Amino acid sequence: MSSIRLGEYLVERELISSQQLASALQQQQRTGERLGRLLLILGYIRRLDLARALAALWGYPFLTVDDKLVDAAVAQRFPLDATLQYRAVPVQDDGRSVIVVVADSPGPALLETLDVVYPGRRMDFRVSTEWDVDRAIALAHRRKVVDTSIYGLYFRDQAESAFTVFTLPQYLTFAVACFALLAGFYFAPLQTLLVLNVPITAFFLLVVGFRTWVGVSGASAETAISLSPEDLASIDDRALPVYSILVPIYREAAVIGTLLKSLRELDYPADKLDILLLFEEDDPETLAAAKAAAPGANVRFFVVPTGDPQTKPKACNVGLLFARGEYLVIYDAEDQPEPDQLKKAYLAFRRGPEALVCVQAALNYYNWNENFLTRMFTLEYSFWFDYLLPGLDMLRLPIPLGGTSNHFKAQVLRDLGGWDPFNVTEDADLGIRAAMHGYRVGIINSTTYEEANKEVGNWIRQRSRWIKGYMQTALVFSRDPMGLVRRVGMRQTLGFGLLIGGTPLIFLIQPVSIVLTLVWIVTRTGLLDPIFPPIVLYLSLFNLLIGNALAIYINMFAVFKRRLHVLVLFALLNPFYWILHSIAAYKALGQLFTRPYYWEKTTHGLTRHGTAA
Amino acid sequence: MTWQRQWRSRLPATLGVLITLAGCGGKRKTPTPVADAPTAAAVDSAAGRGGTGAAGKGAADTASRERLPVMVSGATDTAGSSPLTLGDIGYKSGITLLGATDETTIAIPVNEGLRATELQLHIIPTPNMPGASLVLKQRDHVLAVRSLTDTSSRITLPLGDAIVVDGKATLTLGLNVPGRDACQAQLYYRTVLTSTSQISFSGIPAIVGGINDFFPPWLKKVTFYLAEQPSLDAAQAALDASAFVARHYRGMATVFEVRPLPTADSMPEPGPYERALLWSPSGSTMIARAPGGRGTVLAIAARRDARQLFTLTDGASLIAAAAFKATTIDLEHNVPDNAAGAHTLAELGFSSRTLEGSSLLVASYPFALADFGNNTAPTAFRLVARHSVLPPTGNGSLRVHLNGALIYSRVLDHSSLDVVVPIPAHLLRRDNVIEVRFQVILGEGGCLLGGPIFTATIDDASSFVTNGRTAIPPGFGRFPAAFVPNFSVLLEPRDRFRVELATQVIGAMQQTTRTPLAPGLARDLAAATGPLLAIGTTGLANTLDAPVRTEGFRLRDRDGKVWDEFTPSAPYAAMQGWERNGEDVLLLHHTLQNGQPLADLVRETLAPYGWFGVRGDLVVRGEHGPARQLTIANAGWRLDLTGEGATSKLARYRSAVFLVAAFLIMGLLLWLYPRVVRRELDSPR
Repeated sequence: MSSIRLGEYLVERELISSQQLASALQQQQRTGERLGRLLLILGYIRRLDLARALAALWGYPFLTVDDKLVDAAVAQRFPLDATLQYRAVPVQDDGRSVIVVVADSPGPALLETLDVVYPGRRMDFRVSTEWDVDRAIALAHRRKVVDTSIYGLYFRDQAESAFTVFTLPQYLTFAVACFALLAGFYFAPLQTLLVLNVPITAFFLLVVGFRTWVGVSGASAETAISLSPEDLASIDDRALPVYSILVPIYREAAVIGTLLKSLRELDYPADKLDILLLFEEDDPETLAAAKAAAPGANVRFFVVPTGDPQTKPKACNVGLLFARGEYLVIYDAEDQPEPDQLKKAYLAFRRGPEALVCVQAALNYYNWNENFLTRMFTLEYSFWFDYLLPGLDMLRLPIPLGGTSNHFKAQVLRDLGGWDPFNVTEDADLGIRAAMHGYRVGIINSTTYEEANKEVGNWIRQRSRWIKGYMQTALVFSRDPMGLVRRVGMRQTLGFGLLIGGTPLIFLIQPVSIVLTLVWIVTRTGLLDPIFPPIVLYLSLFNLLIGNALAIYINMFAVFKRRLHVLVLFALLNPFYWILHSIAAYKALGQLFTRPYYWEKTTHGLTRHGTAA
Repeated sequence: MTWQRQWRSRLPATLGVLITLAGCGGKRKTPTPVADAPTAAAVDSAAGRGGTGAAGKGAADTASRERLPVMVSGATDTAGSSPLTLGDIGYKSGITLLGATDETTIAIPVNEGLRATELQLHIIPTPNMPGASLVLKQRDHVLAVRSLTDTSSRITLPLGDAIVVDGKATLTLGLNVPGRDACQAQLYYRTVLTSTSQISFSGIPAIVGGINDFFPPWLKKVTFYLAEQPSLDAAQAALDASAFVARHYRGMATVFEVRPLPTADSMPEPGPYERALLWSPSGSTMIARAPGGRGTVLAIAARRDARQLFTLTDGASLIAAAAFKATTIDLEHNVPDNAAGAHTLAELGFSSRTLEGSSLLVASYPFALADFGNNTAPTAFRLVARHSVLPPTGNGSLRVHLNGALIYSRVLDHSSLDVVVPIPAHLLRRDNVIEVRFQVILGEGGCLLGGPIFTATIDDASSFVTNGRTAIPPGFGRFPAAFVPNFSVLLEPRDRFRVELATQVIGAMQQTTRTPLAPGLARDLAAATGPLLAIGTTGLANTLDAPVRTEGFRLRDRDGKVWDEFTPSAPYAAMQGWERNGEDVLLLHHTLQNGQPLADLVRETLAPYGWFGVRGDLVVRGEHGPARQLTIANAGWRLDLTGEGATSKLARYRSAVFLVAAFLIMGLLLWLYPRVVRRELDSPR
């Protein structure tokens, strides 16, 4: 069947005009996309009319999918993978024939597969819209979809899933450490404190040194995949693959308009965008708001079935199942990516090594100057994404991905098991997991602007989730430390440990250090002297004076690349900002034991500032 | 049954009170020293215990434990076997004679029945000093003259003709060194009579006739026998006795000790140079004499008697008087009158002194702040002196030093002096020495022996003006001045061990001052008023909020270096002085149950200089010593308390706390296990 025939048929049926057809064909010359999809994207035809036309052209009846139509028992006999691959859903089986709903013309491969599953049956194909086919899949495979999105990684490799917070050896080690500590405090309290203090002090020094080293490396790093406008201009749109954009949304009706606007502004052929808005079943308001916004034809809504854990990675996993793109990116609802980001990511993948599985765009805040918190947050993010991650990239160390704007090769991502829905920093976890499997993560010079938290409570909720996720990630990848060393190397293991394990530890230790320092300054007590013998005291003083100064200093770097020089002095206030981190760290520690998968939802749409534009 | 038991226990004391009251209302009779007779002493003892009921109980207690053993004759001690050294009678550093002509006066105690026979001097002269002669005389009566060589030697001087007045033979030893240059001699010649020089006696010590001659001029030892759990009155008597002995034999080597009451029904009588004191509440105060014995045991029957005997100037004489017990006597003893504003040298025990010489003449006056009373310090020294007129070609100066520091000087230009020397407060210490020095150059011929000589007499009317307040920070420096005119003693628990420690401390303090110390044993902390001497355990330290009160601590210097560490599991003892609620407190305490470190601490701290050698505000000693004397307050030392003291719940229940913590951790781990380790997959949807 040729596209000319579809176009002619539609013009003949006066479903589109000749000019619209000419326009669509002209665009097809540029992008190479199928005509039907182009007409949809261009808004020249309704999805239903297109499906009816295709049904007529293919010689199959048209069918509208409803709940009563789909016999789940029949559909589930056809594997979900095959269902998704062929977009074909067997919905009825009377023993002689099987009704199969399709959105694409069924090919021989589909027939062959169906014949294996339903031997001796005649295949009675019905054509429906893509949306109806997806809906039929969701109806028929609801349980499978949920289980795959939740336990997919766990069943694939339990060792890589945070479903189990502690493995038995880890737990036993933890228990032994608890009792050893207790015994130490009973029999030799001072020596025990000293034994604790020495590695803590050394660790603090090591972490500060490591971050400084990575930050300085990042400052001089040119290894971020830098793509110029000329590079982007050289891209042939026809060569561009379908790009899936997953946007998990939960109780964020307020930002739907901004989101759709940002997505529309992306410099990527609309017909090659596969945008999946992932709603939660218990959030009809946001879904209604999205429907009311009447997004383009390249936007699909998907309602994620309810089921614990109700986390962003679970929604992303559902989206990953249904994503059609060769590449895939995650955005948060409030994200405002730079328009050329997808093309930059595409070019990065093209030019990067085969092992490059993901590229991370920088994140920053458009409301950076709203209050103290947003300024500090901006400083922190600027350092993290502009210096630290490029530094890690340059030093070939595992890169913990940021929450959004990470672009993947979709199939490799599926091979990796997708996101871990039990890990509340699924992004960081995925970055390390990719490194473990021999893949690389790169950094591109594009930025996504987000909304910085401006309220302390909201900030602490979000940060406690991040820190808890780091704890989970550290626990997951320390289950077999020697295995990790064998797979990624000693240097990378140490880098991972210092960054992912070190970050929560430092924030947990920090208030103790602050309190001890204040107590000593105020009371001049000698009680602390036994746990601070000279060498430890000098190290601690070094940490206090030089370490903190270094941490502040490298944080000052952050302003240069972004030219946010007005924030330089705010870096001096970091010690106060770190106190908030510590509060969040202790909250995270408590939740790690009591509610390990609980997703502390960050409320967005609180800012009164405008967008990045 | 309970009521009957209580009534029976109170019966003897109740009867005693009734009989005594009846006796007071009737005709006064001379008390007879019958052991069981109810006397005023019993009333006094009962009153001292605060109430009839308590008295009855105390009386019942003490009746069984503080009964008087029967005395049996002990070993007879002869005078010949007990020679005294100069050190024994107060000259602990010996005697030094300066220059070519010098004299010193020594007072030799001679007990009744004895006769001093000879003085064997161990002399160390200045090498190459010309052969000198030593003259022993009493007033103008030359008893002996001996030639000296320039080498160390022993010479024997007869004392047979020495006259004894009031138990003392006061003698003068004079030195004459031939030569021409008296000034050179004054500067270089030192003739030392060592403290080991001996005085021999003959005769047999007289048998003690009565209480008034119970304490002879010289004693080796006084022993107070106490029950292990002494009554309040008995312990109080021991404290009073310790102060009395230290005061009465001030400077001498007389030992006061507290010993457990013999468990046997009889005890041997001490020798003639020792005395024994016994608390015997069921009788009257009397000499407990063994048949044919020496009468060296005194049985004290009542608190009132003890106070009269040990605190009044002539207590021994008074108590012996037949009518004394029933009279009303002001028991306040002689304490310095703070309002007086001045204390003459005579009041401090120094008589007028005449100095003669031709170059440097020095008169030293040691005094203690306690001599002036509590929180009183001299602000000036009024020096009244007369001196010979200097020849026209001569000159001289007067210098006054306080504790080695020059505080005044002037040229000698007249024949008399009446100057007021301001005393810098910061130079004052607990024990002080003020020196009056005359430096003279007598001009031509002034250094020739037989030439002109300078003479100065320091009048005993010279005085200290005492209208200042002491600026000594809290600590041992405040004692014993803080204990004047009286102070409380708290012993927890009140046992012989702690009474003995208290007597040692009080005795040592009394040695430093002429002012009588008047300890008042308190039943408990609530009853203790004013300055406090407390001896107990960590519990008492906690009660008193002592600076060092935990069961363990570390001692660090300014740089944080640990000098000593005491863990709650290892015993230690401490003596500390500080101010609590405006009152000075001296606390001796030990941790755990082992009091031996505290006994060792007191022994080591007081040896060899007694209270004179105690400095700072803390002495601490571990089980194996040594005792460290420290100044903690404002001195850079730091105490890291490693325990919360005996009352600390954490310390006391440490094991239990950790056990509970272990169970909690175990419970938590078990509770968390299914949540974070062995999780069940959610039920299929």
